[in-house]
Amino acid sequence: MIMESNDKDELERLRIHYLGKSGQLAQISKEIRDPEVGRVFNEAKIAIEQALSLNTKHQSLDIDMSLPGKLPPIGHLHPVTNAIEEISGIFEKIGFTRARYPEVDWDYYAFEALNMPKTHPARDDWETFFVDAPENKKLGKLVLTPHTSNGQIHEMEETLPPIRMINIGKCYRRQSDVSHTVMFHQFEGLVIDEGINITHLKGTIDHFVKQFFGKERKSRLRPYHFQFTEPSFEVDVTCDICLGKGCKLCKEGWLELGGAGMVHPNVLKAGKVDTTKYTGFAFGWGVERTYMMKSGVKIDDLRLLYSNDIRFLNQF
Amino acid sequence: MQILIPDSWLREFIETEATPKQIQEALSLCGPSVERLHKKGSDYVYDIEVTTNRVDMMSVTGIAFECAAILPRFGYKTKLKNDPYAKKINLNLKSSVDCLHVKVDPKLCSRFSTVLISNIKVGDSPKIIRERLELCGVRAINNVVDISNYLMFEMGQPIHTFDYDKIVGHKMILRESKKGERVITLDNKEFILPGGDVVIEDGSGKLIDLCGIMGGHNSAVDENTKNVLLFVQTYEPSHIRKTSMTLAQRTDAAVLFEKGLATENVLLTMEKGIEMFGGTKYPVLDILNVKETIKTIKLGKIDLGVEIKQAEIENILKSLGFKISDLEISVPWWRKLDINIHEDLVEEVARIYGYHNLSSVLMTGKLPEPSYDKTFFWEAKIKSALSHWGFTETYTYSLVDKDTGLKLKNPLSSEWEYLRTNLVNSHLKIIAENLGRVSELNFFEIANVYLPHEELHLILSTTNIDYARLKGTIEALFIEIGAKTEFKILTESDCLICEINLEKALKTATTIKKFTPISKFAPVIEDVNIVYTGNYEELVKKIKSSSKYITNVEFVEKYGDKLTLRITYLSREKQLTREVLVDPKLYKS
Repeated sequence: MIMESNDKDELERLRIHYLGKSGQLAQISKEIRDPEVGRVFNEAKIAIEQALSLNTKHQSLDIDMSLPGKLPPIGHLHPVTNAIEEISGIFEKIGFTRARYPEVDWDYYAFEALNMPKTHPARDDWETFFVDAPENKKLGKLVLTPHTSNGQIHEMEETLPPIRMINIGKCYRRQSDVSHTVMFHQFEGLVIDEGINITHLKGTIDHFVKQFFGKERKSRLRPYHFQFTEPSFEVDVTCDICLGKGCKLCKEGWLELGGAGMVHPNVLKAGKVDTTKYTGFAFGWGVERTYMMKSGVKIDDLRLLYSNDIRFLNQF
Repeated sequence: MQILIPDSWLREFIETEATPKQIQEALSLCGPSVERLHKKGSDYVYDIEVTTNRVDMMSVTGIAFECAAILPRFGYKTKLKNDPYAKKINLNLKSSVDCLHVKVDPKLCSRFSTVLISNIKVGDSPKIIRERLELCGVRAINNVVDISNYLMFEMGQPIHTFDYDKIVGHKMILRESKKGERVITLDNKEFILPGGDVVIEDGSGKLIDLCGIMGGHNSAVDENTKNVLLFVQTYEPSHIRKTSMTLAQRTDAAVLFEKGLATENVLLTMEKGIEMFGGTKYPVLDILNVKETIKTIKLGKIDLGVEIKQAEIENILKSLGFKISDLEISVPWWRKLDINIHEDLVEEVARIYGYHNLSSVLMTGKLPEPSYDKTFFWEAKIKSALSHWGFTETYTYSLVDKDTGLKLKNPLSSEWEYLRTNLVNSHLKIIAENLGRVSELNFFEIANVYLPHEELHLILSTTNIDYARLKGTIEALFIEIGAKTEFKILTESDCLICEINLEKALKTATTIKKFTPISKFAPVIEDVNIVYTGNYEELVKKIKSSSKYITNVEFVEKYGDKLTLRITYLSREKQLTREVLVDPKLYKS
């Protein structure tokens, strides 16, 4: 009451009411016997006195309320972090568990167990980084994983179905230009359970698209090809500019989000999952790409994300 | 892979009521993705992305086949016409011919076929061929070269033509190249070969063809060519890929050959080629080095989350060229590279049925075991705290130019050759790059280092050289996570940096706070000045051990060699008076 009052007369009335010679406190003090109660009483009296004096101080200061305030120090989270937090939050709410798997991994996890033939272009020196280290007899070469899909096999080795995993991590590919950086991030979803089919994949993707991009955005699946899924899909989202009507910035109203598919039986077998009982689906999308499709942040050179220019970072 | 296909050319193989726009939409949903539709004069051109497993669709006929299966599902009456795959081949085939002596390494070339066509006249192609090629993005050159390009687009099978008279000994040896051999290709570029490339030699050691990539300049057709060798082959794909990538020659032919082409298409293309040249009196040399078999797959259960009748499944498969007898599905030859298992058939049925016709539901059923890995929780908490304390998060590359850890075998540039073993160097670099851009830099980052095992580290870097501030930030962070670990702040000339092994710190991190009931008695607080000779922690320990009532020792300031400390005395049993105060002289070290 004291702190909120702006009225001088009202404040004076309050002062007399509490602190005056025959005020409330004076009355009470006569009855105090216990020293402990006395201590509490004194604290209360001091508090009232302070409140009264603070209030009058405020009013007497010369404040120009139109001047800007003093900000506390403000730091910024990197847009990739913001995207990762938002993405994992959406999946965690529908029962996915976040995981983290190696960025430098064996060929076995990155390719072999994912049904990638030995001659697949991703396994040659032009697309994937290899570490200059001796090969492991069983697991092959040491690679910088080009996708988060290596997490699929690790997850199957460590967890029994039902599996709902979201693995978000760094990936590396031998490409650097305005739309590619040698290091980037992917998020990999993996679901394995009894009776999982394409409708569940569609449901999960729809859920994500509506949560992440907004309820007016739609998604669709198109046939595609990946070694580790069968059938495989490319997932499109309606363009944020034209909402599906078609414009200069999109492909006839749609933007490509990334790949998805039903887990290939060879991959399930590699992960020692009983294929007569379980089926599953997986998707692996670029964090940077997904984020840019959402926010309307049109960064014309992706490499800017990893330039760590403070003038860029300060904008997020 | 991208391919441009003119609408008029496509309609030579299908009869449909669908408009180009309708074809675009239907194909994109159920087949190859038609990324753009361009209007060109009275014609349209489809710009199509074909996935690498469907090299059969890299042609007008391949796309026509897809149209015939897909368009009727959208209610557009469509049927194939001039079906090139249904044609009976009528060629005079020989395993050896008089006009050319060949020796072929069967490991490198699955089918080798060629025919001599004599007395041709090099000139312009007919208008329709020139126009179609230009719509496909290819420049018309002359009737001989244009025929090979035209057929590649129509049939998806690359073709080459040699000037027969330039192959002096009329001899061809198809073999692997030796390292250092030289060849000059059609476009007049000279290559020194890495070795292991598929080449043709004329018997005198001279290379006349860089197979699957581009023909040799010394045997090329020119305006004076009279006799042509029409050349249709299929090669071992990984050899072609290796040569094409090593020499950076990504020709249309190489892109097709490296996927693996069906040998069954060779003679169909050969026959069309001969027809376009106006026939030949010579027999066709045909060497088949693999066995052409028909693949069969047993059709099992198809669970698409909706009920699809068996008859419909069969109709879909038949529309794509599959043959069915008692659930044994025979794969058409043009699909035998990509259809191998039952799930491949499921995909065919599902995509033609239409993914857009399937419902969309979230999983029910048991939830997985929850994770006990709390690292993500702590990471988020630390990031949030630091950003609110004025620090800005960075993401620097894990690859650096110099380090002592793992080295890449095939770096893209010398800037990214090693996996880093620390974050300090990356932050020294970004501090230097950002100096002068703003008045003060305060950075942090959480990232793995590679030792070679991956270990999560936290780094803080700042150009504010107030040591106590950075130290205090880290101490506050330890309060946030309820755990601490040793750390060292590096003092550089223009910045302070501190890297912490976060994994170690987080091992004991906890959200559980210990509650001590608040004492009913007032504390006695005293500020004391103490002569300081170093080792603050030791001093605090000493002070605390001097009285059981000392609950807190707080650093106020340092002035010269004197420390001002605020010492709190508190009891939970009684009200303390100044009598309990310890004489600060006792703390002298």
